[in-house]
Amino acid sequence: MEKEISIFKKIKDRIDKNKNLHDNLEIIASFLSGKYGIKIYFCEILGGRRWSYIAGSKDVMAPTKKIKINSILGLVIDNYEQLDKEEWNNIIKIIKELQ
Amino acid sequence: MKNSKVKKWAENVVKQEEIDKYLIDGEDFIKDELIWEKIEKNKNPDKEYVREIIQKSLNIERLDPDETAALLNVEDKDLWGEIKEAALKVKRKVYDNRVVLFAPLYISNLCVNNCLYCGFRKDNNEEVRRRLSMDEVKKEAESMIKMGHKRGLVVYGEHPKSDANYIKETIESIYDVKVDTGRKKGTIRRVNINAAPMKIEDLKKLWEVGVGTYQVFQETYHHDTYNKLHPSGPKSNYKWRLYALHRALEAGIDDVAIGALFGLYDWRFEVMGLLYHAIDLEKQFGGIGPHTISFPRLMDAQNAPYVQKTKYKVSDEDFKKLVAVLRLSIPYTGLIVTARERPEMRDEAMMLGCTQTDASTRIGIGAYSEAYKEQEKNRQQFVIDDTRDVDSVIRRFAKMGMISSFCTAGYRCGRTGKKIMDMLTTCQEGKFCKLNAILTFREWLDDFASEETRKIGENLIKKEIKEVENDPYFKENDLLKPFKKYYERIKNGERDIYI
Repeated sequence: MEKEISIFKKIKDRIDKNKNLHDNLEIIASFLSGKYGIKIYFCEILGGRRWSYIAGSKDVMAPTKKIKINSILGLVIDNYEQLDKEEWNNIIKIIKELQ
Repeated sequence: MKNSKVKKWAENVVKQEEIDKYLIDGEDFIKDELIWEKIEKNKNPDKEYVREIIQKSLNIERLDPDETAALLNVEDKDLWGEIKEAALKVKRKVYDNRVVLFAPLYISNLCVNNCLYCGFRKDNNEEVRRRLSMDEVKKEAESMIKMGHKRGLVVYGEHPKSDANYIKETIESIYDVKVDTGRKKGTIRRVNINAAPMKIEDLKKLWEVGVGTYQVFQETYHHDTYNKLHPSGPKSNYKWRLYALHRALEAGIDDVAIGALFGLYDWRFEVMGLLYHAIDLEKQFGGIGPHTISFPRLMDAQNAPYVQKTKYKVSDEDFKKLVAVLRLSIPYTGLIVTARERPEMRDEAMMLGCTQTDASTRIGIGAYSEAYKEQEKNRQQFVIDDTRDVDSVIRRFAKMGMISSFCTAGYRCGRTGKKIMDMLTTCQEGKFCKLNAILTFREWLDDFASEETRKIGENLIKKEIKEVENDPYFKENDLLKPFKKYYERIKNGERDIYI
């Protein structure tokens, strides 16, 4: 796999500030899936407990990790171990900046 | 609250613009004459045609109205046998052999409507009226949790004292309750509601606090009968109710549930109505149909004149037929059979494709925490026929080879709305159902089961795990390893972990 830092940078390069949040989340999900086989999807969090799909992979997956980006947006990851924690933190930082 | 205020509130419930926006050419999607035409046109269906329809359903494709009408017209005994057999096969393909358990929680019987078949109706002066306070709601939830329940269906009458703000508060209160159940704190993990139709703005409030499924029954889809049986109150507006779930989906609530009260009008017509309802939701919301369908039969209720009068009471034989036809017509949807039915009928309904049921059911206001055992007509909407506790119901299902599930996973990891619909129609959701059924059944056996039920349950779990190990799907999709890890963690005392 390429150096982790480059994944984070590549995602950043693909973000289009003229697009809305949903479209950019789709961009991130399809980049990670197409290039690295990492399946993710995003959910709107309601009342702190209900996670409702909004963007990302439609494939079957056994989520190994659920990450609360903030109180209203959640990230569900299939193969979390494929990247290290620091890389995920950087990706989450980009997602937070989108909102 | 003064009567004039209540009256004024009731007069302002319906928002015409939130009906009109969903009408097509100014009309709703239930065409009474067309439904009867289809039922008539499809009389004496050819055997081979019926078998083709069955095959379509086995391919997990939703049936068209003509096909459903043909099934409703089958008279040949052997062919009915084939339909019933196929119904169970469809259920197993989509949902595996699990039965989801829940408990209904009635928390308010104040009502501005006057439905002629209902004990809560406004003109029933003998009904003891009550709306639970938040402390009382919490006590009810505590009692349910102590029985082992994880999923509640909260029921409200339509009244300004139980409006959207009250409903919102009750949902939050129930979610907040944590009870020591031995190993970890037990909670109600999913709150579904059965409440009157609301405007979109109000539905958004419920969505924001994480409501589970929103259930509204049309009661009867037949326009004239509907108008006759709902003489006053907001419920007298047929279309306001018919589009309640369209508004819910628009508000973001992506799990909605439909139903009809069988016995108000011809059962075949109601089955067609439910199908048309599912079709219109699918059409207008990108393929999202009903998450579940309910088909309660009319029961005795206090001061409800229509219950004795109706000529449409559904016989046991016809009830089984309607369950099987619904199963085949809308293969992706969950089917709910409740404690209204006798235990034997519930068993039979399960073998025809039902997916959810209730247990330890008490439908009086405050009935769980106040622990009154006898049914009291003046505190209930109707009378139930099955008062068995959770342990007995689970033991019975286990003996029948069915695993009871307390799973609430999908709703907490994004498998809702269109995503769950796609997974249901491609028979993938059932795989998750199976895994999460085993995990939650393990929890329940360890925390709540009687010795007798535990013994039977252990054997069932062994069999289920073997099936998982032998199904290549779980290995191919990397589900087997995490499942086994989770199972061990639960055995060691962890709770509420899911796939």
